[in-house]
Amino acid sequence: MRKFKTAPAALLALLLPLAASAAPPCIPCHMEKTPAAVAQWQGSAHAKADLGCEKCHGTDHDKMVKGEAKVGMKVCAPCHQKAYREHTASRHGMGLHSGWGCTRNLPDRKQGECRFCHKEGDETPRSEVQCARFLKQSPEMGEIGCNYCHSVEDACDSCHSKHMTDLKIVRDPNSCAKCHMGPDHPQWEMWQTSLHGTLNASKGREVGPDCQSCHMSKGSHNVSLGITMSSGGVPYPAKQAEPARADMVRICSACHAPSFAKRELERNDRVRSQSLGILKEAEQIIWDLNDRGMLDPMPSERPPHPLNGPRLVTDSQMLYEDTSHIERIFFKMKKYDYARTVKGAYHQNPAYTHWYGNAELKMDLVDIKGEASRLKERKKATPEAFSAEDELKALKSKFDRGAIGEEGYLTEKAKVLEKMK
Amino acid sequence: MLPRLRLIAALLTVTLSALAGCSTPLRGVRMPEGFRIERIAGSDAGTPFDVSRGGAFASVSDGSIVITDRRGDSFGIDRSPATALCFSPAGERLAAALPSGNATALRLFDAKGKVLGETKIPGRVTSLAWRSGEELLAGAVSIRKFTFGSELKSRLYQWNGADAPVATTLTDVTLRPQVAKMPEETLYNQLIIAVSPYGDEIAYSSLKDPPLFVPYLKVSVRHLETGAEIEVAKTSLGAGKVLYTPDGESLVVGDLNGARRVSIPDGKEIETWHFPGRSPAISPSGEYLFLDGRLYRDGKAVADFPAGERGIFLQDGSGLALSHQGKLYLVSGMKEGPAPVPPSDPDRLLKLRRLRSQGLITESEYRREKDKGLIP
Repeated sequence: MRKFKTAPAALLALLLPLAASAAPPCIPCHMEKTPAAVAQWQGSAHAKADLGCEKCHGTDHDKMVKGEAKVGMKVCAPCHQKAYREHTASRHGMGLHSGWGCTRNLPDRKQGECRFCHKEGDETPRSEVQCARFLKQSPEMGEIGCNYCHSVEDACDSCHSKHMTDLKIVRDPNSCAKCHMGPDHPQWEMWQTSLHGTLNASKGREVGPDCQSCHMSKGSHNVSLGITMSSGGVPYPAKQAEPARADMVRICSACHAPSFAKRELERNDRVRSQSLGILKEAEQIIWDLNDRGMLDPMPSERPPHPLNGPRLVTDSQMLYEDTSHIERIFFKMKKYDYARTVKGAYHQNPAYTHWYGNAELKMDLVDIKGEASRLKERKKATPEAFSAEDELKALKSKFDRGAIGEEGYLTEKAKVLEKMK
Repeated sequence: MLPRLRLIAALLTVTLSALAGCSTPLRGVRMPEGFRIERIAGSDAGTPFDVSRGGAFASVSDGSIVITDRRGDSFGIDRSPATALCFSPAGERLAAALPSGNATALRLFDAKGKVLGETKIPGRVTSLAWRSGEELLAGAVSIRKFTFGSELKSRLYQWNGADAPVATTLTDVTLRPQVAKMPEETLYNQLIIAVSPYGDEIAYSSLKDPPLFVPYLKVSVRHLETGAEIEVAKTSLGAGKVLYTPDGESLVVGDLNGARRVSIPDGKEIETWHFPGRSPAISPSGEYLFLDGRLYRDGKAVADFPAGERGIFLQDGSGLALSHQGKLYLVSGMKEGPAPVPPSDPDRLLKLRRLRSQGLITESEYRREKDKGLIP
């Protein structure tokens, strides 16, 4: 009976290819427990290079079972040094850490979450950057909704598969689509419906470039090469932007005349600055309402912002929940419509630039102005009219945040003091 | 025989003392012609005293609080020694701070000594001032000792005489061990509160003990309604006082080394006096200034009294009460000028001061608006 049970395992071991001999202790069980993983590994370059399971997973089986032996980027780095260097220098390798935040004080946090930011036994986080939107999520939402993308910082398998090494997988634009799609930054859809995407679909990547052609040029893992703005769409200062632009022109020049590429990109820069102007106008309206205590509800009347407390936040840490209606419109305006206009332009997609982006952006401004008027009218109707002191506080706040110059500030103040008489 | 001789000797002493009191009750006095000095009441050394608008004197004599009128008739109102005494602006009420263990009882008396109200607050009250006829301000200090130093907390209490006082923490500092070892009296007596003539602000001193620096007293001005606060001056640790000038636009800050007048809010030095000014007093018109034994008129020394005396001007400016070696004296004969003219629109002035305190208008904007007929 015993002999009968062990026979298939023994047979299986005999049938394994010679290269798989590097991992014999794991294979017999995992052929049963995780057959797909074993099969994928067997067909991988790792197996061919005689790299067994323990090389990446270690030998502490208990840890693996508890999910504590994560195969992070540091495990891959010793062999893939160039890719590791390029990845860590790119936005994938650092900026996306901002998608996380410390859940220490959240009532429903999971212990296992700590490993996203901390090395075992180390209280110091790898980065001090935190994300307010992440901190507002349930652990489940944080895991699937945030970390599935933002774990790219420390996870090669975010793009590559876990056990396969076939580059065909990661050279497919679909591998980028998992994160680079949707309302906030639909780069995949933009590319797909652009001329580049159409040509790619009909004639292949030799004629129609894909994500990797431009953003991972020559197989580089530095996906930020040639980008002249932050992930939130804030233009880089010239010192940083100029060399990045030169890089992108060089990439485009593989197919286009450099002068054409430069001209196209510069036109898109102008679309970006025009759109930013619309965005700033809306942002000033909201700050002005905040100065006058007109937001409904005011930041002090709603759950405090996880990072900034009871204060108005309209920067990259702004929330789409526990906020006022006008801020919610602004969130859509900034995170969706501004991003779509700008990224649509750089991805050569007219419909995204105009209809999904710029037109929405302008209509958002109409909505914001309308909502601001309504809030102002409502304030006028309340018994606590706006006093001279409120007026001066609003002006000071405006001056302090640079929305009004010194001369304008003094003039406006003089008018309020005159009215006070 | 002996008792008789003793009686004669005692009568002789009393007679001589009385005669001396009529002519020169204090030694080392230099006064201009027309000035008079008379002994009014008992006033234990180092204890507080005050003078009411109506000319009644409150002092601590033989450990009890007594009220004395201009004729010298006294009556005791409380057998407890007070750490601070202060008459209300109209003079009909007297507030007294009476130590009680780690706390202080605040007691209100009417002019006849009847208790009108009482409350207890934690810490030692070092300063009393009336914001208006209805609201008393008390500055209290608490010290907690630890192995690494001491925590010194100073609080402002606002009391209407009936309800529980409202407390505001003014400072909460940790003193280094070497500073915490200073005499208790020195540590406690750092909090002096003065109310602006408009009742909208207080000026107060607080102990600062920054690491690597010599401890000092910070003089701040705090708007009572908005809580806006600015630092106006620094002064040395030890006995000292801060008070408003009658126009409410500057402070007199005094310490052992001298006294100076600084502007609000920028703390610019306007005037200095190189004479110890631990307890400066200023007359209602601002014409006379009394430092520790020296009387100035328009910046010039006009009279000298024994060094180290403390003084308080009568509210009509007609005299100066002095405390010296257990006695309270009244100096009269001063030619006080008119008190500052009140603003034509006090509400607007208060509004402007409130805006200035919050930095919503600049000092020059404040003065410009004020000069537009607000102060005749």
